[in-house]
Amino acid sequence: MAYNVMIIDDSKSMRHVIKKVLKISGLEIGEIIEAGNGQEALDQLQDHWVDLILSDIHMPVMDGLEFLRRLGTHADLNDVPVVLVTTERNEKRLAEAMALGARAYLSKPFQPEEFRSLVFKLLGVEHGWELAGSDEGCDF
Amino acid sequence: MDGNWQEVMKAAISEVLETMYFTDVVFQQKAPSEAFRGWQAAIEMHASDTAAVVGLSLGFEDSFARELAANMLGLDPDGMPDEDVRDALQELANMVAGNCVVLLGPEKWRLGLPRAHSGLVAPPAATHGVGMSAAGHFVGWAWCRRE
Repeated sequence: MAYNVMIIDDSKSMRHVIKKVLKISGLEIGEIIEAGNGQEALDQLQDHWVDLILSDIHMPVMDGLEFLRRLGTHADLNDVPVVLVTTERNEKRLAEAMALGARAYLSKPFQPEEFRSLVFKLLGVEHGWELAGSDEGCDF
Repeated sequence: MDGNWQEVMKAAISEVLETMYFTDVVFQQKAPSEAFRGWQAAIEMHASDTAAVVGLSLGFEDSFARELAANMLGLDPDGMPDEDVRDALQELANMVAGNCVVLLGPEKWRLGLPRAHSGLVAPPAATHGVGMSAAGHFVGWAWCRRE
């Protein structure tokens, strides 16, 4: 199965790095959609279906927390797993993000293997094969 | 800024450069004191419970800045657009400050938005900054300063 992934970060460089890490992860990737902030992401989601969202928190225009709040109001989108890829380390803010619906977070800087391991576990994929019948909890 | 801030800054820079920019630097207390043409990236760290603001700045010679951006992006530094260098350095400042906050107490600080620009990079005051070298050559400065 090819996964469509959305990457939300105001840094073009970081979006490029995440794209690169996704492509070498072994996960079969369909389309990668990029957005520079939460508002752009919501706009893009009107026209694109994604299986996974990777989002920064600190962004201008609309930050990651507000994006999560807005995403949660869309019945057809609020099951899409969101992983925060962020420099945020404040436990309260991270807890707030998880309460708003984020499934996990990954701290920048990160190693490709950390990224791979987290994404694969979240999607229920192992070594390129989907885990049949897995309903393993993915909250970190 | 006291020595603790400086040590925290150095540790943060080392980790981020190694992890995301595939390079390392050697820190030196005595560094060239002339301004140079290059790039400066900066970000503010705001204390959660006071009005204190600490600015983190990183200044790099142009060739090293381009090398960092090229390493991060997996691209050739030759012909790299300035916009890509600027963006890569902003993200560097962002991640270094994020790591500083981890070491200082993430409940106590929050990050502003990073910025970077090219131009004349002036040396920091001796008590605030450290020099950086790579492969035996001076490549820039890093400093923290209470705003």
